[in-house]
Amino acid sequence: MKKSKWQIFTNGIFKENPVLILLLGCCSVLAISVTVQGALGMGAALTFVLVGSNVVISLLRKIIPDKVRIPCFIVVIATFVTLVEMITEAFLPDLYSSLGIFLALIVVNCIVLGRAEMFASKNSVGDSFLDGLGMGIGYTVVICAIAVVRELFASGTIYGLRIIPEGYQIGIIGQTPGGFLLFGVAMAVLIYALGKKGKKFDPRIGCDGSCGNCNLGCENRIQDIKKEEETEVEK
Amino acid sequence: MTEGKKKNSLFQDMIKPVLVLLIIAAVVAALLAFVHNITEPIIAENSRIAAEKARMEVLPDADAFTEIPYDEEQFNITSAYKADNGCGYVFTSANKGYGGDVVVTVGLDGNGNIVGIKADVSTETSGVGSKAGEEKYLSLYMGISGSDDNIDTISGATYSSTAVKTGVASVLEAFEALK
Repeated sequence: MKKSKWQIFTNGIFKENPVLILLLGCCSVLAISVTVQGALGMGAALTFVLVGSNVVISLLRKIIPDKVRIPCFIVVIATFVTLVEMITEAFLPDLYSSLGIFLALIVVNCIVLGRAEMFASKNSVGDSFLDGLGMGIGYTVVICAIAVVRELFASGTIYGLRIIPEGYQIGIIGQTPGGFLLFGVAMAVLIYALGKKGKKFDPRIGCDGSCGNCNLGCENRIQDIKKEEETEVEK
Repeated sequence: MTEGKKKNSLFQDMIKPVLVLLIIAAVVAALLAFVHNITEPIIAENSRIAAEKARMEVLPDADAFTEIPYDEEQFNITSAYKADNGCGYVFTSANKGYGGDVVVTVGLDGNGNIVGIKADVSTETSGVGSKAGEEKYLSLYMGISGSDDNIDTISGATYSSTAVKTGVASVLEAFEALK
């Protein structure tokens, strides 16, 4: 079944949301979601890298030999990250200092490499562009949603605007434990919202059956392994 | 026939991957060098302006600054500047806090009294150590000079405020020698 262009695009936002369903790139989400401004910047930077690397890798997918595909992907991704780094440092120095090390760490953000490996290296340029854009927006929406709540409760502001008067803040929401708590809540909300009437959403829909790339010991996989074992015994 | 196939697979297996990777790396290196050439002067200019602004903040009367040469071994400071219009000096000093270096930027008038002070506490724990960078604490240092040592550290933020205190003491010591 081939997906429509629209499905490819929305996939990254809902059904295969990179952060809440695929659980990739969680580290930067937890770290940067303290202020809305930082979250927006991080989302924009990641979306740019994701779209750029997806397009280039899709263009090169027939040239890159299988053996060296991972180094090639990393080189392309690192190029885009370095570009973003140099450009933000030159033109948006405030954003650059607020993102700090996490900007450089986009290189090893599993979303980017994951999409290169799972999508861009197998699909056309247009589809890869849409996939990158959708995944980037999915990431940005999640990190911003978490950041709105964290900034509101931890600093009493939203995008720097004071909403709750000083002295009534819940500091822990802005620190690591609060990040984990909200992350869990956001995940539960999305999975609840995606469930159909009376039927729980099954995140396995998000996988394209490539168990080789997956390390979540899900039911399907266990069954597959069992089946393989059975056929081997039969032989 | 088999010979040709063998050669072909050697090329496919060993040489082609290396060549492709080499070409990709060479192309992106050229691209990055190009962008770096464009952004480097802007970045340098930005950091110069940022440093100038930081100095202006602690010594608002100054117009421009000239660097004072000093012996890095002798003084625990990271930069020393004299205002061109003679209204004072700006010194910075970096000292280890709880999470990293705390950089204090101190403005001094011609007599060595502190007229402005800033502390970069971005490496310190937010809400705890960061108190050492707040106006409320830093204002205690305003107006002191010489080897005044009557300022307390903040309980609960001892590391961070000690770094500020050490920074100020180093600046005052360096001022006495360099003014």
